[in-house]
Amino acid sequence: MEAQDNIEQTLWAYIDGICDEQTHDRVAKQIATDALWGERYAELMAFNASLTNGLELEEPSVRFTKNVMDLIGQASVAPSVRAYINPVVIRSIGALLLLSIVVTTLYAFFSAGAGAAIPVQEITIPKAQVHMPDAANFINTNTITVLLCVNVVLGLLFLDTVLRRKARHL
Amino acid sequence: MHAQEDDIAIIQMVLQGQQQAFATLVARYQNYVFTIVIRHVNDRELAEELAQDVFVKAYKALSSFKGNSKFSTWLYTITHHTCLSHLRKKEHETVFPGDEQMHLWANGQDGSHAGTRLEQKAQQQLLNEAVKQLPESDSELITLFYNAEQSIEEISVITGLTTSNVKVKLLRARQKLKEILQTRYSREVLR
Repeated sequence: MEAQDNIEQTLWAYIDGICDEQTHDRVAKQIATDALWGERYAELMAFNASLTNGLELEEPSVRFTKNVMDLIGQASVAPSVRAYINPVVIRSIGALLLLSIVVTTLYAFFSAGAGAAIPVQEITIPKAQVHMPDAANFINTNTITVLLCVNVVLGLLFLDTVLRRKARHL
Repeated sequence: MHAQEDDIAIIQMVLQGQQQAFATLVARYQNYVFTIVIRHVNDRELAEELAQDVFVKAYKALSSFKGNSKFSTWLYTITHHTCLSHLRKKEHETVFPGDEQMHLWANGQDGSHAGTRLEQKAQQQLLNEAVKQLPESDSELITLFYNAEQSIEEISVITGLTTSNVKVKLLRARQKLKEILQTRYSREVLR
């Protein structure tokens, strides 16, 4: 079955003209010498011809063009991006950002240099009196179970979204 | 298919203010766009609405068409994204055409083919109905490749898939189509 699939895959590439020259020559030789390949090739060629000649286009209503032109009558062509974005403005904004980064870096660098001269003893950090709740009170078996459940549900929702998206594109 | 130069000349005319020239492009590509859309939504009325929307979007964005690809490829890319965006908004339910009707055609019992072999036209009709039974992404690929004559690379641009992915999906789509024809209408179509 897999061999059949490979033959078909190779033959379609040959028929569509998308295989390289070397493969093209090899397949042409195979078709001429191998009965199985020759038979499959004739079959696929017939199917390809029926697709090329037999598939019809659907036609919209006769008023279609008029309807589109009526809709377009109220619209206008959006100007090209280049027309309303001035590259000078973009470059100026970029230069300003770059300049601010350079200035900030230099300021920080020199401040640090000046600060290094201050004796360490002179710097006193005030002790803040912040009463933080004890995390141990909140983290217990129940909390972990609830968090795990929420994560599992979120994971399933994400998996469902991914699988739906994949199924749509298959 | 129409010459790319011809399309570009019309686009230039539209951009210079000759709005009516756009009607030529609409008339030229309406069947292709409509067919791609109907492969996605399987509802003529809705397909017509979406196809109109595609042309309006294309008109508004015409100045952004740089001519790096064929106009048709650019237009079908808009078509593809418009369809996907519609399907995302509204969960699409695939409605297959009535199997009973298909069997009636295939067996020549609908009156028009009674007692006779199916004519070429009827075989084409079966083929087209079989394409509609493919998943929407597969029937879109078949339409783009065979009807709209887009190359693998161009389909890759339109759908956002890699070329190797397009090749594999096209192969699978043809296999599925063949399977549908063989299992349901074998004697009539693949004689």
